[in-house]
Amino acid sequence: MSTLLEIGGLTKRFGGLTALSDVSFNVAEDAITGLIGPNGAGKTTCFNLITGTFSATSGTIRFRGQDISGLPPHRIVQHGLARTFQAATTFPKASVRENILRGALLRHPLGLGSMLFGGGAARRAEQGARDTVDKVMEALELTEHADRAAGTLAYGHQKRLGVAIGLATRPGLLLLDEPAAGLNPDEVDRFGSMLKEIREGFGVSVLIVEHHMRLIMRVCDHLVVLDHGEKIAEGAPDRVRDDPKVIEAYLGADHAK
Amino acid sequence: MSVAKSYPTSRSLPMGLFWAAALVLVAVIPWITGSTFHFHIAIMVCISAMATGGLAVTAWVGQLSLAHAAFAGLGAYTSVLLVTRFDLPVLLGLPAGALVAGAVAFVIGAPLLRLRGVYFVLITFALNELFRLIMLDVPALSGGSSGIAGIPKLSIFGMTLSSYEEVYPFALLCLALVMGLLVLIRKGQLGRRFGAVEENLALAEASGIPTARTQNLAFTLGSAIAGFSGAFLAHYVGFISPETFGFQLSVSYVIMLVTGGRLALWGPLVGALFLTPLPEFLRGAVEYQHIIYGVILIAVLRFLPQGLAGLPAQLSRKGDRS
Repeated sequence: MSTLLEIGGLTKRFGGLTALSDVSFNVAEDAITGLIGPNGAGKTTCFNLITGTFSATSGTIRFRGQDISGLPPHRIVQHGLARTFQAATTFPKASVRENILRGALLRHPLGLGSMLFGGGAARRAEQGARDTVDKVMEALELTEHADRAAGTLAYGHQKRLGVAIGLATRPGLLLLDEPAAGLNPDEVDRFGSMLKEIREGFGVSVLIVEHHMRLIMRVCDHLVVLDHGEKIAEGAPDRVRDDPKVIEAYLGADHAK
Repeated sequence: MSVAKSYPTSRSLPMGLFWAAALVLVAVIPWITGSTFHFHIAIMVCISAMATGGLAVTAWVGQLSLAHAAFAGLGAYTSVLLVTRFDLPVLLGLPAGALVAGAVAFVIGAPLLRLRGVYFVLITFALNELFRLIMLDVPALSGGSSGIAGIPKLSIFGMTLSSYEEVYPFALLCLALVMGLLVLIRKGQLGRRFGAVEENLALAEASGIPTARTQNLAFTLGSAIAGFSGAFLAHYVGFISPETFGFQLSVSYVIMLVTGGRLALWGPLVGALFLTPLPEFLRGAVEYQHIIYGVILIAVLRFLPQGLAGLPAQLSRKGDRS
């Protein structure tokens, strides 16, 4: 498996606080990689650095061999890294279809003239984007809600819509920030199955930040464990699960013997 | 919650025709009554609607500018100075005013629009005051506190529009052009981007929309429209001073926009149509204009959160429920 994303020596300091310290790991192509760790381990900081929300104090982020550190979020999406948000994040007043379309149009760029006056180029772009939207809606089981305002959907559906918008930008790597938070156990299981289908159907790799261990153990091919801003373990899920350092980080030193 | 870009229902076409007919009917009132006073008010409505339309474009990306009058003033002074000092035809002075106002907005927009919400409102409020004070300080350009009087009247290809009856069709044409631009922005792919930025900035950015550039584009377009309306106002009224473009005018535009409907395509037109004539018709109440506007603003915010333009939808929803 080739490497899609290379994180090298990533460090982030907020004033005197070191949130992330010299963290390196790779994300492989066609895999689902989990980034886990106890609260305050630096998972979200790491996520925000990769997606361009913050810029790193030092270190490199390379995607498909290209350095993307320091780029603004909208440029990083163009490179093929799409993200979702921890909370259910949608365009609340727009329909589900329109929400996903706004993501899909990234791959159908238009000049200012076509944006204002329409014409053939604008029509072709919209048609192309709509094909993507239909595919994405089907994969995330949102088709029946296509014409509802996103803000009126149930929480679980809104979280799925967030994934749909990201997927519509046709990313090489989809970054999910706690996709299971706030979902009930049934919804988590269905989401896990959907995630595997998405990986197959859209040929997309996934990096997932999550607390929900059952989901992580079920879907991930590879895990990276952070604690106190440092990487403490990495490897296949069943190996990481038995790693004394990981058990210590989660449960305390008494359990690690 | 209403669905943006909802699909046309069977009812929407006849309703559209109804509103278009109502609009035409209102527009021809001055010709029916033949009253000079009515012509004057109708022209003022056109100018206010253009300016408020510009403010709407900025509002569509989620920013409220309180410097809108300053950009109208920038356009006004640009046109007046070019026409009086360089003998530029007035017909070219109007777009020149728009161009300069838009260019200034483009340059200051990039740092300014990093501020959001109430901070952007405050900084633009300060900018409007700055514009007024600077203009007062350069009497050689602005005429100082006594302003510039005797501004050349509007003229098209050498034909001066000297009477109200002659100005009005030209005002309607200009308003139609501005509203046409608003329709293009709103209905095209640009409107989709604006909507995304307004509804959820972080998600828009994460979906690949360059939010900073999109907001600056809206601010530039909106301020250019303000410049055009300001230039029109200057040549129509024939007198401007830095005080003409004080923050009270900015506030009036904001009230018209909110009353009409902040995010509605026809909001600026409805707001200007409703609020511009109001103080004029309440004879002797012109000095209470701001009080009247304030009361209306509070009432609209309380009872019509989507503005007057959202009233039909709000009523029909009520009807459905009962």
